[in-house]
Amino acid sequence: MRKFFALLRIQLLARYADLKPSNLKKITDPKEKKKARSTILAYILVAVMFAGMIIPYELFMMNLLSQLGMEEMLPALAVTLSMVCTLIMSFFFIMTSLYFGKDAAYLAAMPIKSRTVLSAKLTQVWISETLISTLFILPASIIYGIRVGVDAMFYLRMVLVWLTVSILPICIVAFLSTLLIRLSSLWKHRETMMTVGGILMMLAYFVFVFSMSSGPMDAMEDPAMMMQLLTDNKATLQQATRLFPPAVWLTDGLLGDWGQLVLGLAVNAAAAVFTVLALSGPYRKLSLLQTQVPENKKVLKDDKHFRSSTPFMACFKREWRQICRVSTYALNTFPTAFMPVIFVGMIGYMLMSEGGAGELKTALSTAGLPGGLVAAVLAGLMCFMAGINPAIATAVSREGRNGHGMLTSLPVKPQVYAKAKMAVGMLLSVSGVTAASIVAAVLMPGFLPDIAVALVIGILYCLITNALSLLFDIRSPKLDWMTETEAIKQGTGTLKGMLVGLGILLAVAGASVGLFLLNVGLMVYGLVMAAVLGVIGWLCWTLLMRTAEKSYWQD
Amino acid sequence: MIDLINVSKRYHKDAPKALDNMNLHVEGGQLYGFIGPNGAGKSTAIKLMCGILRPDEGTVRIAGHDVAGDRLAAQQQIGYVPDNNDLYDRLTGMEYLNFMGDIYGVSAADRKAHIEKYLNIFSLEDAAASQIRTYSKGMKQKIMVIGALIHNPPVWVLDEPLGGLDPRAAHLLKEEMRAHCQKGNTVFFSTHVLEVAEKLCTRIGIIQKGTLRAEGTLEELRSGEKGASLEELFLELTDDGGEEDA
Repeated sequence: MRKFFALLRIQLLARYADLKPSNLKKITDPKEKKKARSTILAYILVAVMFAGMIIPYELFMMNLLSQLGMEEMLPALAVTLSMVCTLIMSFFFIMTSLYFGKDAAYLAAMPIKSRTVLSAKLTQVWISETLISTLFILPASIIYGIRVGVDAMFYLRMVLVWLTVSILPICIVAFLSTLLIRLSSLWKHRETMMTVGGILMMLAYFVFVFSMSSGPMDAMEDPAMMMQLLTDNKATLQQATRLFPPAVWLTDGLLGDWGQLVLGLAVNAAAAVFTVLALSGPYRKLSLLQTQVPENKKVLKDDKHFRSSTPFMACFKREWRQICRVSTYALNTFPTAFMPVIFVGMIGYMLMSEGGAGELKTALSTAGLPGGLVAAVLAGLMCFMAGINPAIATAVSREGRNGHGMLTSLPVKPQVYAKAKMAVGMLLSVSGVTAASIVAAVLMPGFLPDIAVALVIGILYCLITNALSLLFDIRSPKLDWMTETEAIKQGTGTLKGMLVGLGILLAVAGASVGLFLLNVGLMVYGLVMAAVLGVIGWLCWTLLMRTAEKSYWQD
Repeated sequence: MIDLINVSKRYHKDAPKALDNMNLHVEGGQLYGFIGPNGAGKSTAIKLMCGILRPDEGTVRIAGHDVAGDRLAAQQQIGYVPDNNDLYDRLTGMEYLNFMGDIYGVSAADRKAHIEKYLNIFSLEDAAASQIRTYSKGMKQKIMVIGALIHNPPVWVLDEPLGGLDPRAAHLLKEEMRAHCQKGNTVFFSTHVLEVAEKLCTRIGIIQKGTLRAEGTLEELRSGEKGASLEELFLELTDDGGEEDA
């Protein structure tokens, strides 16, 4: 047990050391202290943001459910959703935690049983997932408890369910990821397989989520519509929460059935023990396999291998190869290129299924709505997705301390690095908005001028958000990281970039409303927006180049 | 070729000086060994020479170019091998060398000649198409050395260049370092291996707590302590050695 706790402590520190208040006190460098504080603030902000989204939704649902006399449905839904979320969202986290840690070979050399290592890693995952489950289970249960008026034992059961709810999904995902790793190890280019497989899974997941959430999200705006939806789907909803027996045991347990609760706890505990016992054998072998990379014994004599290009192209290629070859980077950055397509594709598909673009055009002109409305909405959809661009928001952080030192030792102007990073970021963002525009053009051929305007707005928006995101990362990069996941996910770069993007999107929406109030047509709307965004884009670009010149060196 | 004039550097306001008013002059044709205990300031001095860090006070010049005022021109004169070779491990060896060639503006013909020569010297031809992360520590060091020298710079700045190299590769690199200096160029390198400094260098500097404690040829260093070995000199001069990194 001593080894288990030592390992667990190391795992938790590697992930959450920035959040430890005592560590903050130890930092003497004011710049580092500021960075550490901003990381803590970012975590708090994310938690508040999610709580701000989930709690009002749960309150809204409770009001509706109590009108139908189905109050117990709220904790039931919370348990089911929490389990489904862990099952789907934790896939990559569990896989990287178990199999892509840089410590695999290091730990393998220590006198620690494979079972102990696996237990510590899974426990770290459980703690992280339980923190996420907090957002689902606790508010829903407390809202239910207050509304129905429960005894103190309910809150004890709530804590037990909260601590247990993520165990079984984690075990299932651990088995699935082990299977995927085992299969991918049969192929030479296993990292490529992981990346492609991961992206396909992500696509399937987003399509699933979108198709599931589009109805209720529309209905959220209208309580009467939501009530109708709930009444119509009462049986389906009840059935959905009773589909997965472990979820049912925990739900019934939470609501007062001690027998079911004990059963739920026992099954989860048994699943955890079984997972550790069953996977500890192959775990060591498979995790070590990930540290071995197939060699390429090709002898390079051909002149094509010695082609020269400019420093800009050299930096661009280095940046691009880094993104493509690290699965974690690819899985986090490529969605910038395909998410706008999915988003626009889904909306376009819904429009088509509800009467087609022709009908929409007629409806718009009949209602006397402004000419640029379609362009504005389409641009908004594309920008919202393309504006989240971790490739650019962590471009300097990903260099790492040593890589950054090496780059600054080369006779290259910082502006060249910034331009190369911008080129990679823009390649992803512009691919996203362009592909989304093509999809929109196919689905809504009657709106080609609107789509063209949306595309121009989208490209200029990406220029602005990418420039500002990179600017922030140049000014305060997180160069000290241990794993690539940490480099792209744990810093505040992506979050800052996302917030900046949202701020600019709101400003664009405000400007659009202003223009619509002036009753301008599509052409004028497009020209004004392009001119304004173009000027802002130019200003951001100039600011970025100045910042690169001034701050790229990190003394 | 390399001049540090009254250079001081501290990493942040409350930290002690990593380099304290250092003066150093290395001429063309010299093979300069820079030795000191851990945390003495060797890497800081090297990073200042290479333009990775900016001095708080003083001037650093490389081949007549002020590193602060004309950084790019100064860096163009340097071939730098960092002490940590765990850098671009997702690139293949050849991609890394081409990256360095592009950065330093080396023509296709020159880089082909250089890369083939050094891949052959270091027996890396078969590994050039593989990603750097498949390399051993010594192979990584070799590819870093080839990349740093791709533009045939007059000044070589090597931070612990022999670490991880097999005896044959270490011997070859030492020969290359000597040959480079014989052409009137400069090699500045840090090392912990006193025997290497003793046998290889034409001039040696001993640094401790950010200040140069002694400097000169081996004979000059020994002049005060008749018959003393470099090891004995080193131990005496760095007796108050600290352990913190700089």
